[in-house]
Amino acid sequence: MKQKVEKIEKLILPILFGVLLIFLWQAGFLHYIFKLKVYQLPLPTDIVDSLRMNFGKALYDCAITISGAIIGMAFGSFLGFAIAAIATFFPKWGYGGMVVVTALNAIPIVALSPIMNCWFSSGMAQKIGVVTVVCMAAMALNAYSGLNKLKPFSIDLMYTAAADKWTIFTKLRLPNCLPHIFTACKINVASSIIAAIISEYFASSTAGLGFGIKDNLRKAEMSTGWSYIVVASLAGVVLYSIIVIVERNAIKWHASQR
Amino acid sequence: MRKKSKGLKRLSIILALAMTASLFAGCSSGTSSTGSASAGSTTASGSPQKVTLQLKWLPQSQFMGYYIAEEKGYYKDEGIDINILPGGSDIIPEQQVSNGVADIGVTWTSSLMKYQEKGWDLKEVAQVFQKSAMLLVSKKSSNINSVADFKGKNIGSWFGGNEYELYALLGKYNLNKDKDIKLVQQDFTMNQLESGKVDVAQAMTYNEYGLLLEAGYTDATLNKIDVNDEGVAMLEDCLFSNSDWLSKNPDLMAKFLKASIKGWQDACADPEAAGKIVYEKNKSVSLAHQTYMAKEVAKLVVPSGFDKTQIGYMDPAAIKQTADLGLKYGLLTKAADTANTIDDSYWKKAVGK
Amino acid sequence: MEITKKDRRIVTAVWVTGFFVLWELLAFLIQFVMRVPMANTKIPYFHTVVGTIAQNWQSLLKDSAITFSRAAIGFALGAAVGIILSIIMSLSKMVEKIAFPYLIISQMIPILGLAPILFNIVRDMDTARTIIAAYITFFPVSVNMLSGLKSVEQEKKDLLYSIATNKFNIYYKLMIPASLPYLFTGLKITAPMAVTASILVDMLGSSSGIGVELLYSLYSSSTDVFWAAVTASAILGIFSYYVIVFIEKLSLPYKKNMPQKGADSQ
Repeated sequence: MKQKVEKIEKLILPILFGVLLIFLWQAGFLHYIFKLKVYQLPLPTDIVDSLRMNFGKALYDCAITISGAIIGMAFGSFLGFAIAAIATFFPKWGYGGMVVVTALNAIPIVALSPIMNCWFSSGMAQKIGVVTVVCMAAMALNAYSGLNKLKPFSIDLMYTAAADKWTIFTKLRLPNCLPHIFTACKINVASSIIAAIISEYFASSTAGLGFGIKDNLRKAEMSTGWSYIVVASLAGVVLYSIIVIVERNAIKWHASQR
Repeated sequence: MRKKSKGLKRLSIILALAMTASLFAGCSSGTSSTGSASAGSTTASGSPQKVTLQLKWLPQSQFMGYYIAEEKGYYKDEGIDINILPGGSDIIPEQQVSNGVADIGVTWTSSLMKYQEKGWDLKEVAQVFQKSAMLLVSKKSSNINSVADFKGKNIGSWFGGNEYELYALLGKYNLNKDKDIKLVQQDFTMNQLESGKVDVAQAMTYNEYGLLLEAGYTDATLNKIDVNDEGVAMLEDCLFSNSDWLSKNPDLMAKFLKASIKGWQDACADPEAAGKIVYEKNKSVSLAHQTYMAKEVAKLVVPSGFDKTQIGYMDPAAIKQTADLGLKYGLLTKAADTANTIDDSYWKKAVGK
Repeated sequence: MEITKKDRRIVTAVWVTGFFVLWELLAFLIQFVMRVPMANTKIPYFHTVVGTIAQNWQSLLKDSAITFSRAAIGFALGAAVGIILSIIMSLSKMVEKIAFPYLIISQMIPILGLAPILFNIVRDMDTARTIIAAYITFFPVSVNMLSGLKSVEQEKKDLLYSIATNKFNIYYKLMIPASLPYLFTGLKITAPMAVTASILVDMLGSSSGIGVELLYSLYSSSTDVFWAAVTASAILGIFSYYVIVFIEKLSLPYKKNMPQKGADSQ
């Protein structure tokens, strides 16, 4: 019973905060303290109105962007993990891969998008390409520290049990790495969606949340533009919640979950 | 977890409050400092008055008039301390001027009309480009000789407000933009046209068309459709400001226009030299391209037969055409209220009418 | 299996040359074997890129310095905000529950939407740019640091409680040191991101910096300059990464041999 109450509390508090925020926003309090005009930052009711009028298209655009973000995140996280694993197995030669990932992490999306535009012809492939590159670093670095920052003596114990490298990897390093992988996933949820959005500013297609945001904000269709941002935010929160739920079930044993 | 003491919770709440408080403090101090800055710009004549100009895009010969006026001290002569802000991919001039980051902005007339319709308190004060620079370019090899040949092709557009001349063109030839052609978003480059991903691309006479020429294409290997010839031109670069600033600084606006017009006159008289001056401002774009652009822009600011003392003239017919096309093709939802969104008094004062 | 300095030098040399050769090979393949049209925009020869860098090294260096110094400020601010946020969230589960979804939402607002509002609030481009750079960078730091703070075992906290240590000491002596490895991982992700953020901020109407170079070269189809700027940003990223590695080594001396021995930070 107590647990149930806690669960509801967990859900209700953020929602209450959101309702309060939206109320202050609608009542013009935000506009008042930031000296904003309604045409600069539309009111929630206007945003909802635009969203309702444009719901079908917004949903379609959301599906395009989010599917690109998820596929790219999966590719990027997998590649990032692979690089971290290689760097763990071959510390001498493999670590260079980590440095390359870091270098890629410093190339802005604004530059990546046109490069990917040249490489791929479809808007979706370009998006996936950009998101893949963006998601690699967070996973590689987190996985690497998870695979290597082991409990003292645990690896010695494995050696005394005559465990080979592979056994150490699957039985010791991988479980130790899981919490770090989830940390990386949380970062990547946010960065994959925003990367997909920004890549769509330059993509050779007219679908997706990014196109909707850019096109509308530039054309002074503020409430439509912001309705796309709201859709992106909701999608981000949903994806994040999924990661958290998976995390809770996958690493029950870890201190962070108790 | 349950053991957490009240003190700890209190501490965290205090920390959170402190952060929000500092955020607000930061904001209010920010606004108060601007208050004093704008007060400074309205001081009595004598000390130079600060004017910030927001460009629509990167520093290039498209804006040469302002750079020449700055370089030759025309603004200084009028008692203006000019600050020219370059644009960028995430910068929208209408927003910058409305925010008060800039006093005066350069944008497309069609785009400004949209903002005005949405209630933004902005006024157009001068029309710098008298003609549209929009071309629709295709490779000769794709055999697109008229708009009728667009049917079934991939047509590129930058969107974000730049698509309406294209829509008007399609409408003129009874082509449905959603069914008869495929619209594709263009990025900054002309790569999509060169690699054949789009068959027709938008290009400005002064910029993208020049890039194609520099890439080895010639007038003979390209087909171009000029929106001016087709009668679907909409006005582009104009100067505007927000009503609040205008009502406080009417003389300053006129002085700014006077100096800018002088700058544009010099620039259009010798585009070669103007291109060089802009190139000195920023060397990222080649000198050849800057001078090419300067020459093309001069043709838009002072078209043949146009009196160069009248630079900035707001032609009611051209403005009406822009508004009408905008209304017909979905940019605007109601007829533009040009009586209230355009104010030519500053320009008249500047040219001595 | 200790890796010596000499070994490391050899490894680096092999990586760099390998990278060079691979890039050249790829460019050659695309251009001459696969005969892809407009190959030089897809990937130009690395030696032409190096040539362009050599030609423009002065302006590139100047722009890099500007971008990097902006990145450093944005990074410092973003990291500080990230750390403070994570400590607040670890102090109170309630704050975490309330704040975290909104932190995610904050990351979903693109600069195009945010910048006009921010400009309206602070009205000063330079301040706004710094805030935007920090805004882009704080999130990974805060996620990683929070994970670190939460990874401390309850038993250890209980132990300190049992000897009547106060909250401040628990954080100072246990929680924060224990989460440092997580924090540094977060900082390593963030440092190159700060470069990205700074480049993005360059494009917000700045007149110098790598971002300006990138935008101009993109717009004027100067492919070589574009790739030179991309390379410069990658180098800045590596540099910023090693700055963090260096700071990590200074502050965590006990885990020097970490990868080989698996000696833990705890």
